[in-house]
Amino acid sequence: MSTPMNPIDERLCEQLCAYMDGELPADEARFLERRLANESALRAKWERMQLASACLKGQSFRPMSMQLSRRVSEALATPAQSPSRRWRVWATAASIALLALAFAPRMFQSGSSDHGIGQSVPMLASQRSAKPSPSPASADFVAIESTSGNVTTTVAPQVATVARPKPAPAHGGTDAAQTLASASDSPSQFPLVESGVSKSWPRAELSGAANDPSIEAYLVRHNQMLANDGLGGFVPYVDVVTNTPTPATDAGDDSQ
Amino acid sequence: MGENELDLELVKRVQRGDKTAFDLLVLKYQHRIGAVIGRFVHDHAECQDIAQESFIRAYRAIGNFRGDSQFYTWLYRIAVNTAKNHLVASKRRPPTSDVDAEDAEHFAGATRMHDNDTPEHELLRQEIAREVSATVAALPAELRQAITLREIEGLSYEEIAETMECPIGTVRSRIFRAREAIDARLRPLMDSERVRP
Repeated sequence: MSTPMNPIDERLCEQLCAYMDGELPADEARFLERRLANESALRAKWERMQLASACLKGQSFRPMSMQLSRRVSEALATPAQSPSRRWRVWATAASIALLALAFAPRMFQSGSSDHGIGQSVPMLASQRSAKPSPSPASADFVAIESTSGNVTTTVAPQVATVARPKPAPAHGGTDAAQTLASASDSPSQFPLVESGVSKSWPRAELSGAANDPSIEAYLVRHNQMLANDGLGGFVPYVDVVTNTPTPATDAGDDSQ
Repeated sequence: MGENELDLELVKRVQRGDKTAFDLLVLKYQHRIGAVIGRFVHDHAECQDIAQESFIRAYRAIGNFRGDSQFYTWLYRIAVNTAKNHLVASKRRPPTSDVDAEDAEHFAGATRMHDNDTPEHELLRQEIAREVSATVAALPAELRQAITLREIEGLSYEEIAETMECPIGTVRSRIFRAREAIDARLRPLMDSERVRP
């Protein structure tokens, strides 16, 4: 060690010698360990005794710097994250970001409507069929509300917002037809899915999609949401392409 | 409690957060680990850096050490891997063959396994070995026998007491006096910054 040597008590040296061989009683060992923690001269003696022991046993050795143990101690005193821990931190952050990306659109959309996030509760599809149809909160709720306020068609989303409940139509097919008739020609108000018409697979027709007014309506809303919060476009698109249009009598029931 | 049990005890203390215990393990094994790394890396400064990195890695991984092997064997593997990684990182080719820790210690001509050391360090190493041997040879017979039975034969104090037909306290005292004599010769060599950079 680089610190100046102090004379060490001979009894302490004898204890150190026995400690090195594992022959020191436990109580004396605890006392010695406290001295070792505080006396560099004693630690230097420990090092020399260990080197002599290795030499006597014929073990190969290479004299290392007097500063090595100090450098190791200093490096360990510096809080550093191991690569695996750093990786875990990054993985956790990425997971949180992914979750935020997945759920933020719905939160923002709920917040952007006239009812708060706190009023939104998840609801299963089977529950929705027994309850009044929810009012649309955003474009991922593709229920169409006409200008007269009549709720007509609901394509069930994964999570419904139970707020401002309105009575569900008794027979969605008839109402859907009325809605289609009453909807303006504006793409933003055109129903995304005609609930009364059951499509065969593929649900979103590729041929002639450019002329499909529901696709156009979706795209308009999609772009509007992107302009609002920058996040809202992805999940609603999933809703639109994965939900099966249900018969008018069971509007709002997401059986898949 | 033998030497390995002492190592395990120190490791347990380190696992409980006692850095002083780890410092004792570093002081105990640094020269032997230096010899291990010296087989891979020629430059002494590089060797010191790799030894430091090895001990840091060992400290950070010591929570995984369960005592299934000897602590030195575990540390030896860390040092070898650190040295190999260092060579790969510096675009040098690590040796394909390897030597186990136990074999390396008793390899015939082990003293010649690190010819790549600098003349100064090789001289110091030889001087240390020579001083230790000369001191033991000059010890009174009872001290020499006690230290030989302990260090070379690996007997416990109780076994040495039986062999030498004396109390354990006497064995402890004899071993201590023998080590003190060796230490008196080693201290000038080890405490010199000039000789031991």
